[in-house]
Parts: sequence; C-alpha cells; structure tokens
Amino acid sequence: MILILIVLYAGVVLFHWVPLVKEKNKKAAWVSAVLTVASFAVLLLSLLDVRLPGPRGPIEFIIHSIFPFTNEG
Amino acid sequence: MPEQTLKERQAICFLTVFMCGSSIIIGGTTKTGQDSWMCLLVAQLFAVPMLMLYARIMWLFPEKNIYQIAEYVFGKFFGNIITVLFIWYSFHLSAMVLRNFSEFMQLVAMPETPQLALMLINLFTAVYMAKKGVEVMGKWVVVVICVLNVTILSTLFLLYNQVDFTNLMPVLNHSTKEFLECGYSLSSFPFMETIVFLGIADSVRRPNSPFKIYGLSIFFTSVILAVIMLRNIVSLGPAMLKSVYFPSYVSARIIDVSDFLVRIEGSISLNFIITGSTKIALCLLTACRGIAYLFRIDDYRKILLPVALAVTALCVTLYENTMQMMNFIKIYPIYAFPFQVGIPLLIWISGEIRNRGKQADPQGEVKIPSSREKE
Repeated sequence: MILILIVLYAGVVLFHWVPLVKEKNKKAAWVSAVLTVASFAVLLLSLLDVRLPGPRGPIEFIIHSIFPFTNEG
Repeated sequence: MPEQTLKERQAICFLTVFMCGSSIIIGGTTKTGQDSWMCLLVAQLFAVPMLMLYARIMWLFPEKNIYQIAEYVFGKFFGNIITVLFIWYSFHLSAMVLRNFSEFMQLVAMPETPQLALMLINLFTAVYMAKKGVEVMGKWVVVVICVLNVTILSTLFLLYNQVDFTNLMPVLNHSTKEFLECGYSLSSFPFMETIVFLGIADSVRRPNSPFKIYGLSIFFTSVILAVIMLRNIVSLGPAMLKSVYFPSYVSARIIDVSDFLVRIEGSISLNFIITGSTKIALCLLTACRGIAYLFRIDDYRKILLPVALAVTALCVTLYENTMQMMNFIKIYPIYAFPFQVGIPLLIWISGEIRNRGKQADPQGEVKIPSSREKE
C-alpha cells in the first residue's frame, strides 16, 4: 500500500503540480503543494501505524465541556 | 460567474440524492426503535424552516454562492472568516461521508482490504464528478434518483414474506424529549446538511425558484427516508434495529424468495456507493470553490485533486473504529449547529437588513457588485 501511495503521489506531482508551475500559476501551485505534502505525510504515517490526532477528540472535548448532558450514555 | 448551470429538475434531484447520501444505509435514526418513522415527522419541524431560510438566502442573492454573499454581507475580513468556517464544514463533511463509506464497505464486504484503498477508489469517482462540474453532475443525479427508487422499491416488495406489521407496535412508546432529540438529530443529518448546496447556488439561475427546489427536495427525501425506515422497522423489529450499524443492509440481507432470490444486499451497497459519491463530490466542489475564492484562484479544478487527497488524510485520522464513528453521529447535531443554523441565520438577517436599506427591486433581490467574481 505504501508503494501504491508513493506512485500515486508521484503521479500527482508530475501530472498536476508541474503543469501548474509551468503555467506560472503561483497561488494554485502553493495551495496544491501545501495540501499535497500535508496529505502525503499524514497518509504515509497512518500506513506506518503511527497514531495521529484527529479533529474528533477536540470537537468532542469542546462539546462535552459546553454541554455536559451530551456525556450521558 | 460560472458557465455551468443547473436546471430546476436537476437541482431538486441533486438535493434529494445529497440528502439520501449516507442516510439510506445508516437508515435515519434508530434510537426510538418502532417510533423512528415519527421522528421523521418531528424532524420536519426543524428542517423545513431552515431549508426555507436557505432558499430565502438564494432568493435574496440570485446567482451568487455563499462565499460571494458572505463577503458582500460581512465585508472582506469577516466574510473571509465565514468562508474559512464554511470550507472547513464542507471539507469535514466530505471526510465523514467518505469514512462512512469505507467503514461500511470494510464491515460488510471487504474485511481484508485496507480502508485507504476503498477511500481512494470512491474519492477518485467523486473527483471525476466534481471536475466535470455541476452540469454533468446535474445529469448524473437524474439517473441516480431512478436507480435509487427502483432499488428501494424492489427491496420493499421482495421483503413481502419477512414483514411483520406488529413490529410497529406499541406506537408513541417514547418520551417527548426522545422524540425531539431524534427529530433534531434527523433534521441535522441529513436535511440541514443541504447548506453545502449554497456553495454552488450560483449555478441555479432565475426564474428557477429556490423555494420550489428546497421544498420539493425535502418532500421527496422525506418520502424516501420514510419508506426506508418503515421497511427496516417492519422487517427487522425495534430490538434488531437498535443493535445493528447498517439496518438497510441487514434488511436487504434477509430477503429470501423461495430460496431462489437471496443475498441481494449488494443492491443496497450500490445505492450507497452512487449516492455517497455524489454527496462527497458536492462537498468537494463546495470546499474547492471556497478555497479558490479565498486565494483568488481562477479555476477550482486546479486545486481539486490536492483538496481531495487532503480529505482522504483527514478521513484517515477521523476515527479509530466504527463505534467511534457512530458515537460522533450522536454529537454531530451540536457540532454542526453553528454551520447549519448560526451562519445562515446571520447571513439571512444581515441580507434582509441590507436589502431594506438598499431599497432593492420589487422582487426582493440584492444586487452584488461583480468586481470580485472570479469563478
């Protein structure tokens, strides 16, 4: 699965990101680069069985703190 | 101004398919057992006024999406804050639906397949749809709605020998509090999730009426969900209904016509795959349009693939197991409240005030200057 992921991201960089840079579309290239690198890092770490924090924990904590009744049952 | 437009009929089908999305497999709410179908009626009390409010926003600001409206109503700074919040909601919603799909597929059909593979397959379908734009998606949903109805009706008739109408008894066996809780929960997921549609509201042109679009879509969705819920109750019974994660799938699983027509639960999976992909595609489209508007990128397609991959990354980190996913659904209505009720209410009030101040045309429309339109 790691190999598939690397091939997939190589394809994204070659066929999506490089054309954006060639077009000199700086904003799109930057947004794409940031999102691509971040998602690759997260997906690779998850495939290596590294436990990553998600948004569920903070969301649940905030909601349970504000509305204690949501913690029942 | 986007080139692609949605016809009224397509917009109605779009919203209906979007609302059916993951609800057809999760089967609405099951907490109230045999009274679940009544929660659908209670849900209308919350959902109809909010959906009419969304329609009013569309009416006030014709051919504008929520990002353009937010910036016009709240100014650049606060408009951008609203845009970021709305992007997050669309982004998170697409990740949640994607996770529903991958959990479902892994639990019922492919326990050995990594969830990431299932996510990527579904996501690429959604990316393809979003890349083609709303016009193609509008044509696609008309086909989807036909497939959806045929599948639901066929499972309904094939369950003829499994139904027990005494499962509907005793009626009204739950407290008012439980009914209100389940009703609000059901209105929040899926009805009020249609706020995401405002992200592509600029594709709906006049003279198409947003009130008709929202009104008919909530009616059709309610009918579909009522049929699904009643089918699940009469075929499974309240106890079984409460104990399974995917009641629609289980009820299709027990279809047995003379030992000949059995194991056709795949048809239910088909429903979920096609409606789920459409729902993810719309959420992706809305998130991408928002990001493109925020960063002044001329075409949302240029960032579609990276955004989709980021959705997958978020999806992976959302929950550790199915139980966490189902527990999150319980607090989801509270989490979604600011996005589904708070922000639209603020936009509507501000829009009405601006409208009165500007003495808009007799139809009640607000004219937004088109200097910042890049989509």
